[in-house]
Amino acid sequence: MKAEQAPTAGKLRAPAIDWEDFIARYGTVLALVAVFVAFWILEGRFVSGRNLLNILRQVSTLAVVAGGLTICVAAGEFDLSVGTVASLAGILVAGLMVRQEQTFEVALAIALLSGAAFGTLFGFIVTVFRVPSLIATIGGSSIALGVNFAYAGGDSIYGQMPATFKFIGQGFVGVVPFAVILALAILLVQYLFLNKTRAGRYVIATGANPKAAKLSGINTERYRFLGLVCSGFFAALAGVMLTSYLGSAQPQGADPYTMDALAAVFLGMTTIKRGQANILGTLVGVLTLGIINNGLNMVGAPFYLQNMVRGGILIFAVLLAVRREEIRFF
Amino acid sequence: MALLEACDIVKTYPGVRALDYVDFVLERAQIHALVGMNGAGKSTLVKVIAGAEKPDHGSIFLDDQLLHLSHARDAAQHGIVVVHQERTLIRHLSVAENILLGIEPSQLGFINNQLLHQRARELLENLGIGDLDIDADVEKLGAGKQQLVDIARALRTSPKVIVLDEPTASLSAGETEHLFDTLRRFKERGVGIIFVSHHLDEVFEIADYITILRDGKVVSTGPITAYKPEDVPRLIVGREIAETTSDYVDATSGPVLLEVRNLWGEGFSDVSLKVHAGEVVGLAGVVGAGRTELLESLVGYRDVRSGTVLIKGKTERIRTPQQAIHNGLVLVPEKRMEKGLMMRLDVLENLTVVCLPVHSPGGIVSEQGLRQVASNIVKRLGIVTPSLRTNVGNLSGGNKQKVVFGKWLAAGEDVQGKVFLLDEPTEGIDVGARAEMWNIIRGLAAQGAGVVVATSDLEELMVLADRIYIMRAGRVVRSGRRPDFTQETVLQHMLGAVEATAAQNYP
Repeated sequence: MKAEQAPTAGKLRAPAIDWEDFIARYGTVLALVAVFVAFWILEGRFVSGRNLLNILRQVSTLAVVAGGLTICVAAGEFDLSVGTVASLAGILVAGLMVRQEQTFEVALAIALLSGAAFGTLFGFIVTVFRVPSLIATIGGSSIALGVNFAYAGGDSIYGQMPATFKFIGQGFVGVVPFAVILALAILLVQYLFLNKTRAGRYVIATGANPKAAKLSGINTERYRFLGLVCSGFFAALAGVMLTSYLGSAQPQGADPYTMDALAAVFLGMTTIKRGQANILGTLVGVLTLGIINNGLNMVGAPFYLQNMVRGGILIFAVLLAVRREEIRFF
Repeated sequence: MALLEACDIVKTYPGVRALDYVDFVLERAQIHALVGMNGAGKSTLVKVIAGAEKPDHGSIFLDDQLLHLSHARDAAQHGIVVVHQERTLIRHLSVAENILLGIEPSQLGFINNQLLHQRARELLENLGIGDLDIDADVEKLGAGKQQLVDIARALRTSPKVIVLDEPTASLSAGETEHLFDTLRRFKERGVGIIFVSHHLDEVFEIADYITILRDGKVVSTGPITAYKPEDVPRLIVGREIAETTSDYVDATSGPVLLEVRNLWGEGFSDVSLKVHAGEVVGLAGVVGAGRTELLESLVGYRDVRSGTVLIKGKTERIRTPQQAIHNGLVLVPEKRMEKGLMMRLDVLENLTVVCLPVHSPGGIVSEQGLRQVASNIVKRLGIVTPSLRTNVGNLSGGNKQKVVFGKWLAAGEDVQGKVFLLDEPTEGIDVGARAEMWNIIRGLAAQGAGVVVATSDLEELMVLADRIYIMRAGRVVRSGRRPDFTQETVLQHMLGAVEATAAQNYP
């Protein structure tokens, strides 16, 4: 739309539907629907109520990590440590309850703190010492893995865990898994934070143009810091959810979340608010990944195909965004 | 027989004819100065000669041979070399490695270091800068020495034509002399040199011949001895020196809002100035005079080395833009796409980024409040946009600028006592929008704000400013009330014509 089309200065014109814009904006959503319909045709059981709830449950942990990562990317930073930070939290929460015999509350608090602590460390390294977040979090990812092994020796942790803890990942409210309700609540909080709070708006402004944001009086370092803390914290929460669902902690169980969450966030950047990491877009991305994973399973595709498809989606999402000049690297 | 001849060159960019049937003749052993305002066509002509731009019409002859240049490489092969304004050195490589980059002497793919050093040394001695340490990491050299290395690299092949685009911007006086000696040496060997510069003192010191461009046309050309330095600015600006006759009212009766005493920083030295409430202060100077650096330092976006800044009579140390805003000091930066706007965000988000704290009680954003503020600003500044939710990147240049400006007005109706620093506020926007911006700026001063307008647009300066400070090479070289200046005298100080006259009279 060109400004010249607007008739008079200072007057606002009701925007008409621009179909080209509509397709660009909702193309990713349409692709999600298309994939859904395709699996439906290939395998009728795919749309059973049970399977749909199953899909939602499967993606609930990823949604929490990806939502946190969305805030980080919105602030203009990357976090490539979310997988290992989630794994560490998952190990910690189980180990503290099983080995140290701590209560559920203490274990949960320490596990979540570990994620926030890593985020704080990265925030410090990135904003004070000006190490790019890409590097700081790759290095940090290895550190988180090391801490994980140092604590658990690289073993899985099994044992008696309190019912309240198991409820997080295994419980139901009516027919709906509690994990789904929890993930939706978290996404809502993240959405409200980014869109309705002053801090959230500052995060977005910082990510959109750090120079302009700084000259507008925003403490850009603070919001980049905050973004990294959010991704660490929510990664830890997802790690806890995963351990609860499995009933045991696997030392590297949540590691793949780094790739999947990035893919979801970048897919999300191609839709709703193009070029911006946004929670609704991320939700679309998470659902797309979940449906493809589940659908491939249902139609009996070989397990390794999932990895290839997810990797392909990450690259394709970024390729699309770069081609449309919504994201620019270097 | 001329060395280089450009005939009837035409080059049109969308919406502007950058070169309009330009003829340009360079003789052997001649230093030919090319002068003109920004946008006069100097850079385009240089690009055409260097093969970086293909002209729409016209031909270029070297030694009476028609050249077909479709790439900068072609020009280089014919012996036309260009020294650009920007550094093109590779960090962490030595002086010798940089000079012979791409043509290192080698055997079986291994660089012969001994030969490399020998050749580099020969080359530097040839240029009269043999005292440069060829093993030094270029990054550790000062800006001036780096420039010399850059020039040495350009001259490593024996060129017939050398084009220098603003070569002295980062050189000290001594280094400039060094460069000039080198140029004279090349001239003695019969090389033709095109010298593009904003600095008339340098032009009159080094050049034999001068060509003045204005609006893509050659307005005057001839041997330098036929010109008086004080006449050149008039030729550069042309008929437009119709002096603006808006009434002058002394505006220095208001309280001093901003006072700068002996401020030093990167790009500017020993700057002192005052801004009164109700006053528009013009900051004139060519690109690179240090205006942007000064303004960005005042709001804490860049570091200040030394000096004092007083706001309403109180000494303040401003280290971040937040502190500046807190003190009522705001900057509308140059290069609005890069520093002013958040291009992915919409008009509302851009307009309300500054006033957000006012409209987010308890940290929760009041959507309605923001919408109200944004639509008020849209009306007040006459911003043309399909909606508040339109991506700001879709607006025209003038409307984008109004948005950058508008976010500072959104923070409150009351501008009294605030100081607005505007860096090239009307650059690249159309005439109508420019006049609107002028009204807005005068309106701010009328409401008791202090305004500083840094501009290279002389008409704008004369229309807006009550008092004028002229900067050249980082320093304030002249200041005074607007009636004390004409566009011509301002330009003379901007370009250093006064110094050039002095140099001509006392050689």
